[in-house]
Amino acid sequence: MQLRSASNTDTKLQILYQDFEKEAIPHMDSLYNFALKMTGDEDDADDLVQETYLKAFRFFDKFEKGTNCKAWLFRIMKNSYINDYRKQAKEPNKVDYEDVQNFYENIKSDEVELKHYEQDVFTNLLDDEISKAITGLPEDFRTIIILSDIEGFTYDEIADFVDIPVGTVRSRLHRARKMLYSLLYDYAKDKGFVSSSGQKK
Amino acid sequence: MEILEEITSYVDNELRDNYVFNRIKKLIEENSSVRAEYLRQSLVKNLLHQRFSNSKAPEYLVNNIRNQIFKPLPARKISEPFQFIQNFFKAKYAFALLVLVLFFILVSLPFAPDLSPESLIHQQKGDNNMLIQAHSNFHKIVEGELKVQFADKNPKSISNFFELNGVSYSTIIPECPSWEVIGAIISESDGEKLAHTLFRNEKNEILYLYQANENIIKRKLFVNISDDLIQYLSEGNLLKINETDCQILMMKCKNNFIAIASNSLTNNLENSFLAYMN
Repeated sequence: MQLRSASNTDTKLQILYQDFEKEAIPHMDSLYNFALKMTGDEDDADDLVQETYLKAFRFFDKFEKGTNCKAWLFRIMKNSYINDYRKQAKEPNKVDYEDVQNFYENIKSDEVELKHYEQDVFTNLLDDEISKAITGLPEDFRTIIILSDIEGFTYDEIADFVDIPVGTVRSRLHRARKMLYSLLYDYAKDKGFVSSSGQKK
Repeated sequence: MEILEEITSYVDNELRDNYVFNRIKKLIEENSSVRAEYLRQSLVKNLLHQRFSNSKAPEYLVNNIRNQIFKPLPARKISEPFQFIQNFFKAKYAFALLVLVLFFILVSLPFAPDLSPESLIHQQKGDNNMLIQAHSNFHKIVEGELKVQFADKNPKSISNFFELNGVSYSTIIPECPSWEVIGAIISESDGEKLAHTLFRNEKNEILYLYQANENIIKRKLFVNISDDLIQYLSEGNLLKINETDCQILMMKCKNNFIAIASNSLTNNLENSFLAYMN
């Protein structure tokens, strides 16, 4: 039996779907994670990821194949966040860097075995408590620490899509870690994992 | 760069100057304050990485985004021969054609329809024929030209995908032990959306299921089969075609006409798949 071939489907669209599926969809977990940590709200994170992907698909013909698609998606998300979400959202009270600096100096210790002690303390903290601490960081610092420590971007990549010099990335990252350490230390103290004198209970 | 930021770069393996790198390394080993700073920064970095770097986006969000982006295929253009026939009907030759058709009807009246499989297969012609489309689509799928728009292993999710994306009729997605559903495609012709489902067995063989409601088939606009085949399948018969590289089956199940194509040549699809259709 000879069956004649059917009408052609829209192969161009098929190729576009195929490329987008291969290049962009695998980064959805990372983008959701970033959105969730930036907004601190699941519904807002859903909206932000959705909007990012719809925009990305609309402009996918502008994406240069072979370049870093994850960084391209993060740039789109950052713009969506700045243009849409941040306008609506009221920033909650954020930690003040100067306060942190003072606090940090007080709890600094010269103990050589510091690593073991502190890891035990923070290991007992719940994911929600750590997430809350991240959300409590000022936005510029929060962005950098998420991109570096959770998403694993290099300084150059972060500088590229946040559009700041590499030196500023380094400086903000240092400060962000310092602030986050202080916030986590506070949580650990409130939970009773550490005494007010800084000793592990 | 002050020392604290150099420690940050050291933690992130971003110090490119060997001299600075070795200096910081030495300080960490020898100076307890520098070591404490290094440990604190490493602690925060490792904590965040361990707790959050493997977080997953919720499944509903992934599906929702996929459904919004991977829309059904755009409407197919009517093929040139079909367009010619349409124009022909509208044109001045319509009367002559009508006479011709009447003549053939009169000539063929004394003969009962030939419902032998060979004759039925021979009748299936044209780009809009469901059997021909099933065969062609199957090869496009196997060759990677036609990709699934919605990948999911849950038959109910596949049904929902069809329903949410405008397939107007009830679809049949069998749950059978030897064939696992893997995804779905929706095609569109003249505003009507049609359901295509893909299955795979443990040998990695593909089974493609194309289904269209009987009302759509009987309208004979953009997808059709011959009247004799409609009658043959409506009586509960199964049409089976063995090609060299695939087997094709056609049947009617509930209110849908169904074409199945598979490169599983040795498999008895009647037992392994069709038995689970109802």
